[in-house]
Amino acid sequence: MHSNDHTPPPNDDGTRHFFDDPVKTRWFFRIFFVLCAVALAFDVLDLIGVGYHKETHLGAEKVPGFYGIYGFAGIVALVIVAKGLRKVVARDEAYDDR
Amino acid sequence: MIVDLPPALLLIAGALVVPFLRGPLRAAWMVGVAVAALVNFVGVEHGTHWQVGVFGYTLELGRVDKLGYLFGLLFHIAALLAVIYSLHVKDTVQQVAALAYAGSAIGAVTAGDWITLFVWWELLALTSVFLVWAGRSEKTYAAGVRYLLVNIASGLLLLAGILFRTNDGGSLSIEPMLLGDTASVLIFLAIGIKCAFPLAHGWVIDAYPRATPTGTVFLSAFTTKAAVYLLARVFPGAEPLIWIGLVMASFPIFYAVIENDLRRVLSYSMINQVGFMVVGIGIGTPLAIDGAVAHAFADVIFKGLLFMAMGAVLMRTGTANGTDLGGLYKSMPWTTGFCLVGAASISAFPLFSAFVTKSMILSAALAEHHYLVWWVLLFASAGVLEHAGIKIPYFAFFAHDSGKRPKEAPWNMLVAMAIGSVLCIVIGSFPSLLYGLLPYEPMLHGHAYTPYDATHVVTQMQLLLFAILAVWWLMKAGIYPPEERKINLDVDRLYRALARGFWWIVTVPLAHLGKAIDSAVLERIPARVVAFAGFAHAEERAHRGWVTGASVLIALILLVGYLLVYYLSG
Amino acid sequence: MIDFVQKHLPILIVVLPLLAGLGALFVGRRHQPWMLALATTWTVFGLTIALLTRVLRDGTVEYAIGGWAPPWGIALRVDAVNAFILLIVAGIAAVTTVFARRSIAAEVPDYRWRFFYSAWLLCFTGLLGITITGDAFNLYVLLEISSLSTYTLIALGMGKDRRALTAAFRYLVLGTVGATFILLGIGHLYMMTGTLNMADLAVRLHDLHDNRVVLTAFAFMTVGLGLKVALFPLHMWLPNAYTYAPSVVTAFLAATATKVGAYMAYRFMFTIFGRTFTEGQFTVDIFLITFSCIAIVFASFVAIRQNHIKRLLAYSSVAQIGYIVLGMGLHNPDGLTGSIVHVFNHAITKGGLFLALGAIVYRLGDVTVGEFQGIGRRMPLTAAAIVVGGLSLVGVPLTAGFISKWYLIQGCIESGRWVVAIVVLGGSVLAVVYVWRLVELAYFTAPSQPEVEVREAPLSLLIPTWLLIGATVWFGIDATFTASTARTAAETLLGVIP
Repeated sequence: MHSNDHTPPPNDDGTRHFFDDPVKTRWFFRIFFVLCAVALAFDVLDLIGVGYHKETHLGAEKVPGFYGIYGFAGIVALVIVAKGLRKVVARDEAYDDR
Repeated sequence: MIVDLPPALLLIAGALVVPFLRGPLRAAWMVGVAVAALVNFVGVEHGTHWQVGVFGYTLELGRVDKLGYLFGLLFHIAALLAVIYSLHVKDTVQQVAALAYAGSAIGAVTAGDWITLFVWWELLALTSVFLVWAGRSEKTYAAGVRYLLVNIASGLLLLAGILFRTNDGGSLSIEPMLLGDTASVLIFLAIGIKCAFPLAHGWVIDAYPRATPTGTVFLSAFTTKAAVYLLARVFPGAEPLIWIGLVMASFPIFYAVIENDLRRVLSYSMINQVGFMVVGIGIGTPLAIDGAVAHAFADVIFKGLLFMAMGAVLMRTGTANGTDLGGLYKSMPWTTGFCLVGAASISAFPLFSAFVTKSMILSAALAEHHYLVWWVLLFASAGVLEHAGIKIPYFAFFAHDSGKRPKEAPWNMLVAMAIGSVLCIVIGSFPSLLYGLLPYEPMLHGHAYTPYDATHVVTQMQLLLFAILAVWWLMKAGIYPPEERKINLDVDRLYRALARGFWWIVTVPLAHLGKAIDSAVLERIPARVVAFAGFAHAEERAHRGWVTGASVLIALILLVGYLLVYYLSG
Repeated sequence: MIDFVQKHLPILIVVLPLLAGLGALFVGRRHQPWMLALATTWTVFGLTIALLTRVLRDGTVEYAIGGWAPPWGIALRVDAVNAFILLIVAGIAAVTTVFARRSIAAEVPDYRWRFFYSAWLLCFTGLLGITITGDAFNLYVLLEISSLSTYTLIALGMGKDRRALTAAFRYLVLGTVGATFILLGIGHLYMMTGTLNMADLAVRLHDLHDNRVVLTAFAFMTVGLGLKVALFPLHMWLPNAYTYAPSVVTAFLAATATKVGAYMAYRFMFTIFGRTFTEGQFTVDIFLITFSCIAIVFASFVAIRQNHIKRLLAYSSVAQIGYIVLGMGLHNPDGLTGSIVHVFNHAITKGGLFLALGAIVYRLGDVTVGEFQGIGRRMPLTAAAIVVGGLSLVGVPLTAGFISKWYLIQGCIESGRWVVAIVVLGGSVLAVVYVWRLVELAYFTAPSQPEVEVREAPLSLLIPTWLLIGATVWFGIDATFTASTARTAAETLLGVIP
C-alpha cells in the first residue's frame, strides 16, 4: 500500500518488480483513488436524478455515500477495537511451552 | 449414477486401495477416483437409495434431494481440487485419510437417517485427525488429540440426542425439528460443535493452522460445511441461529486483524463466513436458506483457494507468519494471482463468487425486517475485506520485502488453484448456474432474485473501496497494528487447560487411587483378618495367602449380606 | 450319517470334545494332539452352527440322554440363549486353536504339549456341557471339569513365569469356593423341589418364589456366579490368571469362561428363579446394577495404570463384565439384548486383542510397556489389530462394541436409569484413556530396544487374530445376525417367547 522506506535495489537484469518501482506504485494508487471517486460520484448522480437510481430499503441508505462512509468508519472502528483486544489477549509465542 | 453403491463408499473404497500403489500410479489413481466419484455423483438420481434393514431399523444410506445433491456435488468438487493440490505428497497415511475423510463428508450429506449420519459424523473426526497428526511433531500430536476429543464429544451428543429421540418414539429419518425438547437440543449442540459455534470454535483455530499445508485444504472444506448442511436440513428458521450466527460473523474479524499466523487468520475467517450461513439458516425464509447454502458452496471454493495459496507459501518458505513474509509476489506470481482471486471472491467484489451468494442473506434479512442483523452483517462484510481481502495477500505477497525468493508452487498446486479461481469467477459471473441447483427458487419481493443490478454493484463497490481506503489511511497514519510475533488467547487455550486437567486427574490421582484400593482395601486389609496357610517360598506364600484369603472373606461377607437383605425384604 | 448327526446333534457337541480330550494324551507327542484339537474344535463349531440354525428355525431342541425322558433322565435343552453361547464358545475355540500351535510351541515345553491339548479340549468340553445341559447337578459336574482343566491350563504358563502357579492356585481356591456355593444353591433347590431338571425346577419354584430356602439358594447362587463371572468385588482371581496363563489360554478364557459364567447367571436368574429375581421385591437388581457400575468405573481406572498389557486388558475385562451384568440387572428387553450381544461382541473383541498380544509375546517374549513401545512400526498388522479391538472396547461406531452400548443405553433409558446411562458412557471415556495409552505407546513412542530387530508375526498367528478382529468390524457394520439372535434369546429369558 504505502511505498517502502528504502527502495530495494533492481534485479540482476536491471528490471524492477512492480511495487519496487515508485512510478508504477504512484499510478497504482492514483487509479485506486479515481475508482473511489467514481463510486462516490454515482450517489451524486442519484441525488440529481440522472442515469442512476439507488434502490433503498432503509432511511440510512438514502444518505449520499452511505456505503462508503459505513465501510470506512467500520474498518477504522474494527482496527481500533482490535488493537485494544491485542492488549488483552496477546501473549508471548513461548506461552504454550510454559 | 454409474455404480450402484452409496456415493460415499466410492471414495472410501478408493482410499483403501491407495496403500498398495506407488509413485505416479498412486497419483493417477487418486485423481481417477476423485473424478470417477464426481462423474458418478452427477448422475445420481434424486430420491432415496440403498435402504438397508439393520437390527430392526431401516437405514437410508443414500438420500439425495436438492439440498443433499448440492452439498454432495460441492464436496466432490472440493475433494477433486484438494486431491490435485496434494498430488506431490508422499505420505500414505495422509492420502488414505484425506480420501476417506472426503468420503465421510459425502456420506454425511447423503445420509437419510440419524444412525447412518452418526456413523459418518464420527468418521469425519476419526479420518481427519490424521491430517492434523501428519505434521508428526509434538505440537501437532497434542492439537490432534484435542481436535479428536472435541469432535468425538460432538458425536456423543448426537448419539445421546438420537437415543432420546427414538426413546420418545421419534422416527430415525432426518427431518426438520423444532428446537425445544431434550433430543433436539442435544442434536443442536452436536451440530453446533462441528459448526464452530462461539465458545465451541476453539478446535478450528487450534487444529487447522497446525495441519499439513495440504491437510488444511481438506479440513477447511468438509467438517464445518457438513454441519451447515445439517443445520439447514434440521433447524431451518430456528431463531437462536440468527444471534449465534451474528456473533460468529463478527467476533473473529477482530481476532483476524491481530493474528500473525495467516492460516489461523483464515481459520477465523472461516468461522466468520460460517456465521453468515448460520444467520441465513436462522432467518429461514427460502431466500435466506438459498443464500446460506449458496454461500457455503462459494465459501468452500474460495476458502479452499486461500488455504491453498497459504499452503503453497508455507511449503515453500516454511512459515505462514505475517512477520516473516512479504514480497513473495516477485517469485510466486501465479500463487499471488490466484490468492488475489480468492481474496476478491471472499470480499464479494462484483463478478466474484461471494457477491452473488452473501447478498442473498443480507437481502433476506432486510426483507424480514431484521435490521440489526443487516447492520452487523454489513459491518462484518467490511471486516472480511480487511482480513481476508487485504491482510492475507498483502502480508504474504506484498508488504515490506522479506528478502525471501521461494520457488513458485509446484505445478499440481497451481492447477488446483487455477481451477478454484476459475470456479470462483464462473460462479460470480454466471450466478444462474449455481442458482439452478439451490433448494428453492431464489425469490425477492415476488421476483426472481437478481444479484446484478446497478444499486447492488455500486453500493458494494463503494463499501469495499472505502474500506480499502480506510486500511490505506490507517497504515499511512501509523494506526494500523503491525504484525507481531505473538499469539492471542482464545477459548482454545481454555480447552487445553481443561483437557490437560482431565487427563491428569484421570491418569494420576484417580488411576493411582483405583490401584491402591484394588490392592489395599480388596486384598491387604481383609487379609489381615484372615490368616491363611501356604506353601514353599515365604514371599509367595504371603502374597498368595493374602489375596486368596481376602477374596474368600469378601465372598462370605457378600453371602451374609445377600441373605440378610433377601430375608429382611422377603 | 447325516440323519444320525442331526438326531444326536446336542450330545455330539459334548461327546466329541470329551473323547478327543482323552484321546489327545495318546495320539502322539509332537503336533498330533494339536491336530486332533483343531479337527475337533472346527467340527464342533460346525455342529453348533447347525444347532443354532435349527433352534432359530424350529424353537427349543430337547434331547434325552439314553432315552430317559426328563425329569428322571438327564436332558439337554437348547434354546436361543444357549445355542448362541455354544456358537460363541465353539467359534472362539476353533479360531484360538489355530493360533495355539505356534504360540504354545513357544511358551510351553514340548513334553507338556499333549497334556496341554488334553486340558484344552476338556475345558472346552466343560464349557460346552455347562451351556447345553438341562440338568442342574450335571451343570455342577461340568463346571468342575472346566474349572479343573482351566487351573491346569493357567498353571502351564509356569514355563515362562513361575507366578502362573500362584495365579492358578488362587483361581483354584476361589473357583472352588464359587463352584461350592453354586452346588449349595443347587442343593437347597433340590431340597425344596426334589428335582434337578432345570425346566422342572422353574415350574416348581414358581409358587415358592419367596420361600426362605429358595432365598438362601438364591443368595448362594448370586455369590457363586459372581465369583465365576468375576463381578466386582469378586474379580480378584482374574487379573493374575489372565496375565500369567499362556497367551492363547488367556484369549480363550477371556472370550469364553466368563461368558459361560454369564450364561449360567442368565439361566439361573431368569429361567429358574424367574419370579424370585424378576419381580424385584428383593432389590437384587439394585445390587447387580450397583456392582456392575462400580466394576465399569473402578476397573477402568485400575486398567489405566497397568504396565503389563495383558493385565491392563484383564482389568478391562472386569469392566466389560460390568456391562454384561448391568444388562441383566436392567431386566428389560433392550438391556438384556445388550447384555447378550455384548457376550458375543466382547468375546470376539477381547479374544482378538489377547491373540494380538500373544503374537507380540511370540516375537518379543513378553508384553509389558517396554515391548509395546513403537510396536506400531515393528509389527504393523498386529498393532493395527490392537487399535481396531481397542476401538471396539471403547464402543466406536462400526465396531461390535458400539452395538452393545447402543442396546445397553437404550435399556437404561427405558428403565429411566439416567445415572447408569451416564456410567456406561463414562466407561467408554475411561476406555478411551487406556486404549489411547496403548495407541500412544505403539505409534507415538520409540522402541525401548531399537537395536533388536523385530519382524511381523507369522501368518499362522496373524490370521486367527484378524479373523476375530475382522469379526468385530463385520458385526459392527452388520449386526443383524447378532442383534436379532440376542433379541430372541432375551425374549426367551424374559418369557416373551415360551
